[in-house]
Amino acid sequence: MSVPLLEVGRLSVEFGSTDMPLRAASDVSFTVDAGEVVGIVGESGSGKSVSALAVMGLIDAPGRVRAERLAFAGRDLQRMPERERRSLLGGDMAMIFQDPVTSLNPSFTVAFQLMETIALHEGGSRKARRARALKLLKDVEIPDAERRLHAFPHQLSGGMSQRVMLAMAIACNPRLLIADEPTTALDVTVQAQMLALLARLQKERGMALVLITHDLGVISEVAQRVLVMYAGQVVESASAEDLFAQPRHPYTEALLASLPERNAGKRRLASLAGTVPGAFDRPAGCLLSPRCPYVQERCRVERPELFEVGTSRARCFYPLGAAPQP
Amino acid sequence: MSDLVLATDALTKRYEVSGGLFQPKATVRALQDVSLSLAAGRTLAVVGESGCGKSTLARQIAMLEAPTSGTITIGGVDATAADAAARRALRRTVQMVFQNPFASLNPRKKVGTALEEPLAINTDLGKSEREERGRAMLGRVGLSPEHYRRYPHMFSGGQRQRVAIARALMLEPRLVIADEPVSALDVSIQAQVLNLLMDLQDETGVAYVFISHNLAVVELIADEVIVMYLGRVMERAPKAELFAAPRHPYTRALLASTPRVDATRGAAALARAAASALSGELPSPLAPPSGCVFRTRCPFAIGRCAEVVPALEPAGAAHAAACIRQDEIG
Amino acid sequence: MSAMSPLASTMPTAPPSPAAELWRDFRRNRGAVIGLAVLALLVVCAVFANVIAPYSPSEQYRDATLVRPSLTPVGGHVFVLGTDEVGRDILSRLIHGTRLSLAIGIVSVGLSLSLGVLLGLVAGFYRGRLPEYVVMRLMDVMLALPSLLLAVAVVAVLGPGLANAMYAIAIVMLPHFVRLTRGAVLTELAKDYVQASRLAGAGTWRLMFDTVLPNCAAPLIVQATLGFSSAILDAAALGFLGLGAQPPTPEWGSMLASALEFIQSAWWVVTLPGLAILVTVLAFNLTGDGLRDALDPKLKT
Repeated sequence: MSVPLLEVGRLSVEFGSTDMPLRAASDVSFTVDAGEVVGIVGESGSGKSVSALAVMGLIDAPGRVRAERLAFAGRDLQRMPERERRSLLGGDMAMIFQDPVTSLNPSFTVAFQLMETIALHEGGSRKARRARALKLLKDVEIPDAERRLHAFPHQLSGGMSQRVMLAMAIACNPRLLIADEPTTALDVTVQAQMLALLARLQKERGMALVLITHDLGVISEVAQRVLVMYAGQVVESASAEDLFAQPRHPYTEALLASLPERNAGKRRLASLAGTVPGAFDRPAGCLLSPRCPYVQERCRVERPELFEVGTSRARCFYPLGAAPQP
Repeated sequence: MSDLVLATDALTKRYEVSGGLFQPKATVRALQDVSLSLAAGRTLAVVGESGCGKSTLARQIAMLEAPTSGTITIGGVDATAADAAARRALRRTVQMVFQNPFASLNPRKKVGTALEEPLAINTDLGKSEREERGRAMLGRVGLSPEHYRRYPHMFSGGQRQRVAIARALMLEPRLVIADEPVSALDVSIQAQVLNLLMDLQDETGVAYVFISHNLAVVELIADEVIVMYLGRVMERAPKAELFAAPRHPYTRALLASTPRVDATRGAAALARAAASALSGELPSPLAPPSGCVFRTRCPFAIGRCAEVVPALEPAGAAHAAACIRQDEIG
Repeated sequence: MSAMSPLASTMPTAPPSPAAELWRDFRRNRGAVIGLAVLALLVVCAVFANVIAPYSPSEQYRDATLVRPSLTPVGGHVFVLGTDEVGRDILSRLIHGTRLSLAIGIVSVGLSLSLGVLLGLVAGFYRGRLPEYVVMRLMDVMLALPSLLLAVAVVAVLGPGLANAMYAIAIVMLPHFVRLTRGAVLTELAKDYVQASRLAGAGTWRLMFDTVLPNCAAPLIVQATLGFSSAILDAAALGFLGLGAQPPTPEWGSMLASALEFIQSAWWVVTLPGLAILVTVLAFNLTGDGLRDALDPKLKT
């Protein structure tokens, strides 16, 4: 466990003109150890999806990706030749996306798409690949797998399509799986099945799982460590236990406080006024300062770093339940 | 009771769809025997997953489509038997807020014009008076006057939803159907919009039919809840009872599947979720199972479930569940 | 953690109107701006033809027939672009011809667009019922015939002449507008804001023209611009066949037709009207493309 599986150091992703760029993600740093489950939680515009795409190398021009460090199993992803990096994709590193309907090619059968993935990374005879494809479908708990192998995506329900996508992603036994909002588009009963499946696969194969979602409930059930993102930055990084028991960043606290289940019995939900800053109204100091209920003068002028606060880290000069930063 | 804003009786809606080339037409049973009632100033939540018929129900109550059979009574008036003029008058009583804030506002109309439209069609108010009311309503939902002459694409999702709510209230309806009004919004914006809806209910006494798949939100906002599956009502109860003591297996599965922040964590949580997870898939609405439509996925199904369509049996004062085994399951 | 306070505006103080935004996006396309400039020039020529043209377009200078384009006077007159076989100044005829070409474009497209939009709305709103069936089958029949033949057939029935040519062209373009409108209407009808207007009590008429039609405008505007250019070409073709404008009307197409025999001996009589057609059609196409590009991103917002 000496070298983390994934190291991301000060990642930033920008779009638009160079003098007035849209910073979709800035100064994002985190590590993922082998076999660990990390949750990244944030609302729209938080930069969570963009960061994952950048790690996978899926951000094309005109997006600009920069990072101090971006390494997989100790190998520098930024210095790697294109071909090598592409062979990692789908092989050791895999990703599944939110909308299964648009992620599968509607013109080809499930069998074709699965076998294509296997062919790209492992090869083998047609018969062998077909057998592997069938086994994969059974692994992801698709009932009646034989028949489903020859189905087209539009004949599958949302939950089934998501499982097929998962099958494609784990086909080559990746060491890291990034799941971007994998259950958001699914019904809640299907979601529970999907999460249980993801957890089981993760344990069986010793895969590291990065789960990106806006649903704190999902995070609380599945993740060991959590990153909270806001307006393109990581604002808190902590173990799941610590995060839910004692959030250190005011945004995390607000997010938890606005959940309906934490407002049981009350008539009004606690809510944070205002909206996430866009491209053109980013505050000079801390990005939460216009909305933060604990804002002080220092917050408005200085940008906080991600400070250590006990066993967590928070991007705040006055972290909750701890002494202010010097 | 004249205090009832809405009452439906055995509401049924079937759609005909083509079965394919040379095939006979197939029937989708979108709604089957749905009966409910709602008093003024109260909120009825309709809960269910995809294919349960909640959107169809919304369209029926909003009189956007006519039911196949059954009746809808709005404010004491039978909407199903009403003629065109009476239906037009009823429009003032029922309004709707839609799920997708990006599609529910006309992109070519300024926000102010959209707000004035209901008044222009249904009242004789002059231009300046319409504008005055529009601006007042916009302020009431928390937007500022300078937003009045803006186009929808300049607003965020949460702001558009506020405009949609304002538009729904322009005619001072007695009933507003909210079809997943916050599902497309971020968590913190959801809180703002839900607060707005509850404030407005306190101020105006409007009744809500609140459609949602998010049980946490329902627990907060509802007075009474009905749970639907494949077009039928599975359970109906006051909110507190439904969450404390659900009687129908489907309701229990829904409650168990909802991830909660303060529940057990990690492996134990997942084990619980997996254990309560339903087996199988949603049956096709073209060929629903015989007897109880839920039986193919129910952990408590027995032979008789395939033979008998369970009626809503009372289980308490205002609590009813459609399960022949509800007393045994405990 | 305040409960409810009016939201601060996160928008710039005075957002540009849709027209200003459209112009800003349009301006970025150099070709489109050039096209628009040429069109503006053509409009000026058409409006002020009497003032700009050096001579009358029908005045025949018998002693100066088939004169080459040059600046040296012939028989006391300067014919910058030469004269045709009966001594009429080509420059003046081209300038006056601008009026006719623009008129053809406006009238044909105007007629076709109006009727096409109406039929398309009916077809879209009454989907699955008799009105849609009737309209679309009629359009299918019209599309099955080659457009030029159809135009020729119409003119044969109505009789030759520029006005009848314009009606024929309008009829030929009709199915395209109907299909386009119907497609756009069906897309919009699926959206919630239409339901919201129905809930507000809007009747079919208001739904058609006030709610849905403005949202279908973008593809229609683009098609109309491109329709201008095809109208001019069709009129030229009909004129070429002798079925459109009759002499001495200085319509570019018929100018081409009556001068074909001189293509070797007096190239300017044939080439210059052809160039005029080319430039005009190109200008309309560039403008239309620019409009489509400028309108498209807005559709996606």
